Amino acid sequence: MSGREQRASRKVFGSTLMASGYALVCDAGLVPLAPVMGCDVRSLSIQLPLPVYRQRPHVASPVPDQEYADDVVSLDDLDHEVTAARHRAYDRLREGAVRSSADAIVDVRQVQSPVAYLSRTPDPGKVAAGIRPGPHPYFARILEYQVIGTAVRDQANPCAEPRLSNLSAADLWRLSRAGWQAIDVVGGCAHRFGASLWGGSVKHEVQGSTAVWGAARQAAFAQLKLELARVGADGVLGISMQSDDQIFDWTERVETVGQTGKRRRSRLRRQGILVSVNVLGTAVRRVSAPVGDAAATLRIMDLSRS
Amino acid sequence: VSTLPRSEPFFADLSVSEFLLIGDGGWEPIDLVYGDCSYGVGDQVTSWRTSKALTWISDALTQGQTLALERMRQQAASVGAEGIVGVRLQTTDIRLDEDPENHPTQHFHAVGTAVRSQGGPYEQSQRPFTSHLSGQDTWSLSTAGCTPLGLVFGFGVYHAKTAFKRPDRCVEMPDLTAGIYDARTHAMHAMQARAAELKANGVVGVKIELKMTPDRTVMFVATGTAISTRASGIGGPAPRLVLQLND
Repeated sequence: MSGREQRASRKVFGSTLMASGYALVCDAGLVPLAPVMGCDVRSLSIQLPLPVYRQRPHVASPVPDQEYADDVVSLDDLDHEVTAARHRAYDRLREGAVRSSADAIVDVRQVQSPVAYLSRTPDPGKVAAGIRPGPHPYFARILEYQVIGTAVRDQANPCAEPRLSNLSAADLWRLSRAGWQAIDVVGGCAHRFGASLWGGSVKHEVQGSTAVWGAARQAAFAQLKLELARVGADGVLGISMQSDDQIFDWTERVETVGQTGKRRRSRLRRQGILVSVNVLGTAVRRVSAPVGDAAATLRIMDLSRS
Repeated sequence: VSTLPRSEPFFADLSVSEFLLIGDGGWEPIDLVYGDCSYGVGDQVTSWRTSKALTWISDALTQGQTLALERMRQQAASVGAEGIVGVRLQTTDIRLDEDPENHPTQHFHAVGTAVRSQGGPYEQSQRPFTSHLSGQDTWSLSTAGCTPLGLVFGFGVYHAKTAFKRPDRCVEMPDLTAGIYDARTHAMHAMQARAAELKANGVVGVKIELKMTPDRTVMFVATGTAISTRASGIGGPAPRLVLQLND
C-alpha cells in the first residue's frame, strides 16, 4: 500500500472541541474519536393543572390565610414526559459512543431546539411552564431534547458503558489532575401547581406561592439525588437550575352560610401558580490520588481586573 | 480536594475550579441549599405633587429577601454546614394581569452551596455564614486573612413627583436626579447597617442594581458580602510573573 493510500485509509477523528480543549483532553489521556448526538422528539400529553387541582383531597387549615400553604399538587405526567425525553436523548448519545468503541463522552451540551425546548424565561405562549414552543403551529405541544458531545477513548480507564460529562475540556483536565472522574449527567424535573392568596394592599407573605416554589425545587432535587444514588457517585458538581412560573386565574362557585343561617351562593375569584424546575449536574467520583498540585494553576490572581 | 470520599455524596453548583479552590482553602461542599419566599409587597400611596421615599415598599422587599435567606440558612444548618458560598439572589415579579386591583407580588429565591471546614469546626459563629462570592474570591479572601461574615443587602425605593410640563429644552430633571440619589443612598445605608450589625470591618463585591418603572419609581438594590479582617491587617500571596500565551 502506498503512502497516499495509507493516509486515505486512516480514520479521521471528529470532535466538538476547540483547539485548546483538544490539547487538554489529550493531556488527560483521552483520545477523541467522533462527535455524537442524541435526540428525542415527543408529543406532550399536556396535563392541565386545574383539573388535577380540583381532584385533590381538600384539607382545611385552621389558619385562614394559610389555607393553601400545604395545598400543592404535582403534575406527574408532565414530569415523567420531560424526564423520559432527557433519558432517551442521553441513551441515544451513549449508543452513538458505543458504536465508536468509546469509553466516555465529553463536552456534552444541550442544543436549543427549534421545535420546543426547556425555557429559561417565562413566555405566555408556552405549552407548560418551562417549555417554550417553536414558531410553527404544527409543533405546539411537542418537546425536543437534543444533546451533542465528543466520544473519546480512555485507555487508562476503559468502560463498557461510556461515561458522560457536560464539563468543558479545561474543567475535565483539572478534575482529572485532582484525581476525580466525571461519570454521568444527572438531573431532575418537577412541575407543581397550587392556589395562592394573591395581592392585597397590606404587605404579607404569599404562603401558597412560596409553598409551590419550595415543593417544586424539593421534588426536582429529590429526583436528582435518586439518579445520583443509581450511578454511585461521590458528588455532583456544576448544578444548574432553570425555573419558570405561569399564573392561572379562574372563578369558583362557593356556598357560604351567613350568621342568620341563610345559605348564599357566590363566585369566588381564585389564582394559582404553576412552577417548573429543571436541574442538571455532573456526577463525579474520586478514582485516584491527585497528580501534583491540582489547584496550582488556579491560584493565579489576575491583577489586570479591579 | 485532599479529603477522602465521604459516605454521603455532596451537591454543589460550583464549577470545577471553584470546587478545587474551595477544597484548597480547607472547605468541603455538602449540599445545595435554597430558600424561597413569595411576598405581597402591598401598596403605598404616591402623589404627582411630591416626591418621597417609599419606605413601606423597601421594608416589604427587605422582609421578603430576609425570609428567603433565612430559610436557606436554616436548611444549611440542618445539614451541618458552617457556611454557604456562591449565594445567588433572584427576584421574580409575579403579576397576575394588568388589573390595578392586583398588587404586585415578588418572589425571592436564594440558592448557594453549603460548606463546612475540613479541619474541624469553624471558629467564627454558630450560624452558617452566607457569601455571594465565588469559590475563587472566597479562596483569595481566606488567603488574605479575611473571613466572610454574611451576605448583606439593602433596598431603596423612591417616587419622583411628576412635572407639570416636561421642559422642551435640554435641562436637568432635578426631581428624578434627587430620587436616584435618595434611593441609592437609602439602599447603601441599609446594606451598611446590616454589615454593622454583623460587626464587620467592611463589605466587598458590592453589586448595585437599578430598576425604574414608567411611573417614575426608582428602585436600587445593593448586595455585598460583609467581611472581617484579622488584627494584623490584610495580607496575601506575593505577586508572581505570569506570561499569557494569548497575544
